[in-house]
Amino acid sequence: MLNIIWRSQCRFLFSLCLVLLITGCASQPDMQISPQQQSDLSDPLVVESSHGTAVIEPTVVGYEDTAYDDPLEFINRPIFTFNDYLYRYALIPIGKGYNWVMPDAAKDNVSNFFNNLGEPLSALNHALQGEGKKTGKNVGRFLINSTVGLLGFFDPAKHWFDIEEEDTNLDKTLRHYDVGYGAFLVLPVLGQSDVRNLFSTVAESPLAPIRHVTDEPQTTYYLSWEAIHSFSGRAELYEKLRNESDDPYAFFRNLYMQDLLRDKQYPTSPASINKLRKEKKDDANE
Amino acid sequence: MSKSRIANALVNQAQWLLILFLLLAAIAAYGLQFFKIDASADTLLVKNNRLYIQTQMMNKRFAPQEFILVAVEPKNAPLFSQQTFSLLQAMAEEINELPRVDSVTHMLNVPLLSQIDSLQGEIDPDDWTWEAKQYDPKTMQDIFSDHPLFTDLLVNKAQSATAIQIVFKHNQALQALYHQITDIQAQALEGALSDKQEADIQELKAQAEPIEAELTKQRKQEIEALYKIIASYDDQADLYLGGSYVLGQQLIDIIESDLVTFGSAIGLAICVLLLLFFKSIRWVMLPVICCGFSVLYTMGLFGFLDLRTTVISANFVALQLILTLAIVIHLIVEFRQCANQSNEEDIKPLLVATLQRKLAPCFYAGLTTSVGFGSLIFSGIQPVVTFGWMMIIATIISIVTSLVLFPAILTLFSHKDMRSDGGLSRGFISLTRKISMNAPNTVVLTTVVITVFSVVGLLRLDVENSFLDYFADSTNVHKELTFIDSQFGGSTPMDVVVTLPDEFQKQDVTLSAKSIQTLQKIQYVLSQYEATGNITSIVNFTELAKQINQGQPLTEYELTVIYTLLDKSLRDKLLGSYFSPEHNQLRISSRIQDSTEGLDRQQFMDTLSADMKQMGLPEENVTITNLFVLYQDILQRLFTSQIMTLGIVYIALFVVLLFIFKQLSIATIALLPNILTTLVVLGVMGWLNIPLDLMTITIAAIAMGIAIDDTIHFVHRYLESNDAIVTGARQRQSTALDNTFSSVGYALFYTTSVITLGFSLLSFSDFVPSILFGLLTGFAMVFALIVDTTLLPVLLERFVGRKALKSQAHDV
Repeated sequence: MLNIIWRSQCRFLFSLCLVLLITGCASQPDMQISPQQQSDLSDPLVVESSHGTAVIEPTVVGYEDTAYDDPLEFINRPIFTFNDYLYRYALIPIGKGYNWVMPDAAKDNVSNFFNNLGEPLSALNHALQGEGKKTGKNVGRFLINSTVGLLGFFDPAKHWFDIEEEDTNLDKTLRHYDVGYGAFLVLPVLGQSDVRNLFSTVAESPLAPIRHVTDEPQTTYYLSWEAIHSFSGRAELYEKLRNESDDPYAFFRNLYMQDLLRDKQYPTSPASINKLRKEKKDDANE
Repeated sequence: MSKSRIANALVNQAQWLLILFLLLAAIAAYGLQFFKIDASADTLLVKNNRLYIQTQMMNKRFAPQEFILVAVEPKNAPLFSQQTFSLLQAMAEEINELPRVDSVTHMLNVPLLSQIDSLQGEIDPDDWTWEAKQYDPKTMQDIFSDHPLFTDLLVNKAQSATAIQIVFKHNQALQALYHQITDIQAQALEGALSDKQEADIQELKAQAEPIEAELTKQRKQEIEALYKIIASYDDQADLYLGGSYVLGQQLIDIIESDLVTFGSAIGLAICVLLLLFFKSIRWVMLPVICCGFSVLYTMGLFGFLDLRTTVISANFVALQLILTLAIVIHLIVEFRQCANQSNEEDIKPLLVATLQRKLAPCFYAGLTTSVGFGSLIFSGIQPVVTFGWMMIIATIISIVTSLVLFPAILTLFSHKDMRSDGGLSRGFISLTRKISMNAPNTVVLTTVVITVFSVVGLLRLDVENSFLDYFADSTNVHKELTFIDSQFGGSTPMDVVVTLPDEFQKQDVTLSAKSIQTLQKIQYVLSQYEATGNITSIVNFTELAKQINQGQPLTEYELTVIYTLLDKSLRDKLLGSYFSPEHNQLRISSRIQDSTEGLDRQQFMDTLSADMKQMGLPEENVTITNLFVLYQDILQRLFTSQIMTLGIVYIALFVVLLFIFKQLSIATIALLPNILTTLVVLGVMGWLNIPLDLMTITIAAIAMGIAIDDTIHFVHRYLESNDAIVTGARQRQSTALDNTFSSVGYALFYTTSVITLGFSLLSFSDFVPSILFGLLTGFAMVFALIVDTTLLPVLLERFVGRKALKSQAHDV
């Protein structure tokens, strides 16, 4: 789930940012969002042929640039340029160094560790979304992995008990209740975000379990580590993408915004997947 | 030169001619090494055929690799079980040892990307194989259920069998030559090629040829080696070999083995029949020698002229045998009659007499046969044109050789042969004679009925080319190929290449959503056809990505990220044959299931083309290419040209007949039996639902070529006798018809019996086109014989004989 990783990384980075730079960030009132124009590039495909008319779900969707406006572009662009320098001259070298030092297997364990720390928040948000079963899963995973999984460095919940990871966050909860995303934002250091996401990150930040089990300055170390760990995974990719793009700002904005719109239009839930599968089967049976 | 001078020269200079012909035979034998059979698809095409060039261009661009499939259907264990996995590994290992093998793909070493929980970071597909992860059988079964890429390709829908795909390395040198040729040919799409360009192509082709020959040899060995390998696993699984290269090799193998088995069987049968009819060794030897030399000269000459035998012209040998046998038998019958009627003991004068009487009809028969086949030159289809030329050459060689060698060899014998004709032939001749003399109206009426019947059948005639159906149902090859065809996604490749219009592009996006969605639509439409087997394109990968993404479609930007994520070599490996960024082209690769019941290929193509027009793309941006389209195109052209060709044949023959017989009525009468024979052969095919395919498409021309021979001999003798009666050289009581029946009639009967019975052996072949060729040719011959000995005499008597009698009465 590319989008989730993309954004959850923003979240982690933001936590770091909060600690290091920003002392407070009041949530702004929701800005006026232009009514989402649904272009036909995201709608189910209508195929007309000699075999009649059929409707199939697209495997790749797109949105016109007009589907999301960027009223803050005048401020976003300079921040993006700043970030770009920061990434290229500081974070990417650090990320690469980290990648070089850390063995691959250890990286997986570290990912597991941080993911495990996110479980309680996911449980809470799932509960808010009314997803009782998933809340149970999060709780179960947290209990099993924190104990049997040696502080979450391993994932026995998945490998032994077949409990798949299901993470979520406040942003999704808000989306669940149809709260709009506000406007596209580029945050210093953190990169692509939006108002709703910014709000949820800020709001969730004090609830991060790590804050409750460690004291400063350890908390900062952990959060920094988490940030570097997550950034290291995409350091090279960032470089590649920005180099191949004619307008990196627009590219990363569109990537972010299309994800956001797609998630709204095609939410991932097992129910929807099962429905999809079932439809597919029915198609095949016909 | 008059007939008698030629006849005398042929007989008196016999020894010199014999020496000359032996010399020629030596030269021809030398030329034999240059004789080539070329079964490749491009021999079937019109020069600079647009579809062919397009296919070559796409092949160059997307470089699909050649492959062979081995389907494995385990006997004692479930498909997804450790036992089967070990079997697969063992087999793959052994196959990998073959020198030209590039890779062996099977379900244990393909990246099972659906197991990846997220599309992030560096993905090394090799980390996600069974070999790396050792998934348990149950997981494997889940993975391969409805897999967007591998179902139909590596595991069949029923999950009863799995396929090992053996991918072969490109031959770099050959590839480079092909690319050069394609680059030049591509310009033919815009305008005619210059002479220099044509010459360059020839030059490049000449360079490619030895490499191709070597490759063909290698392929043959590889397939043999593969059969050997799979044979050793026979006890554990049912194994099937398939793929278009195997099919091609099997075709060549079966044609070759047929040539040996049936060639010798037919030869033997013809000898026995000749012995039975003529009861003398010399009348067996003579035809055999004439046939052998004719074929030798022809093949030698084709070697020197670099005329290559293609699928279409493959049966020229059989046809030449027929032509030569016919001439020699006519000569034998004539000679024996001369011998019986004369007191002459010496052979030479008898030979001169025989030749004097037979030179003209043999020449005319040769002329008309040549014209018949010559009309093929106007078909406008390269292989058919070549076939036309080949048959003209073969006919001329047969006539010259027979007329020279017959007397030359016969002079070596001292005594003449006095035996008379046997009972069976006498029975037949008297029967047809009686019919034509006593029931002319019945004959005419029957003819009309048959004509109507044939025309109705003709309208039912269809063109359909299924390579699978070339092999008899009972054969192993048919079983194997059908299994792979139906279970593993079809046989004949067909590609749809989409050129993305500019308005589909989006800045910084590798492939826009609009592009993928358009492709997805096209692919969906393709999949709706019953006959399409496996269909693969970029869409399958996006579908897989969607699956990994928990059912969420990717955004066009995510797709770009993933594309950027893959390193160059992996990109080429996975996507290179489906996406060409520099040309903005996407390729959908599919295979058509040849074994689809009741598949009407032309209708399929027509509907598909119509469907493609609805996909929201400019027409020129969707190209349907590859072998399926090429074969269909050539077949359709052959079919349409058939009608035109037949028309030209009829007209050309009429003109020639007019030239020979100098009378409108006689020319018309002589033409009728031949038209009837061609119509009946095609009509019978129509009624029996035998479609015209690449192999049977020339049958009408063949029927014509065979029938005309009989007609010429019969009419010529009839007119000769009639003239003799009119001029009073003969007694009135023996009519012209009697005369003709008792001489030419026998020759016709012998020729037809020998060839029909001989060729009927082909019905034991496993190769369906051989069976059809044997039976249809035999049928054409028998029918031509019947028409020429019933309808022809009736018409001759009615419109020619009586007139002659009348004019004679008038004279008196």
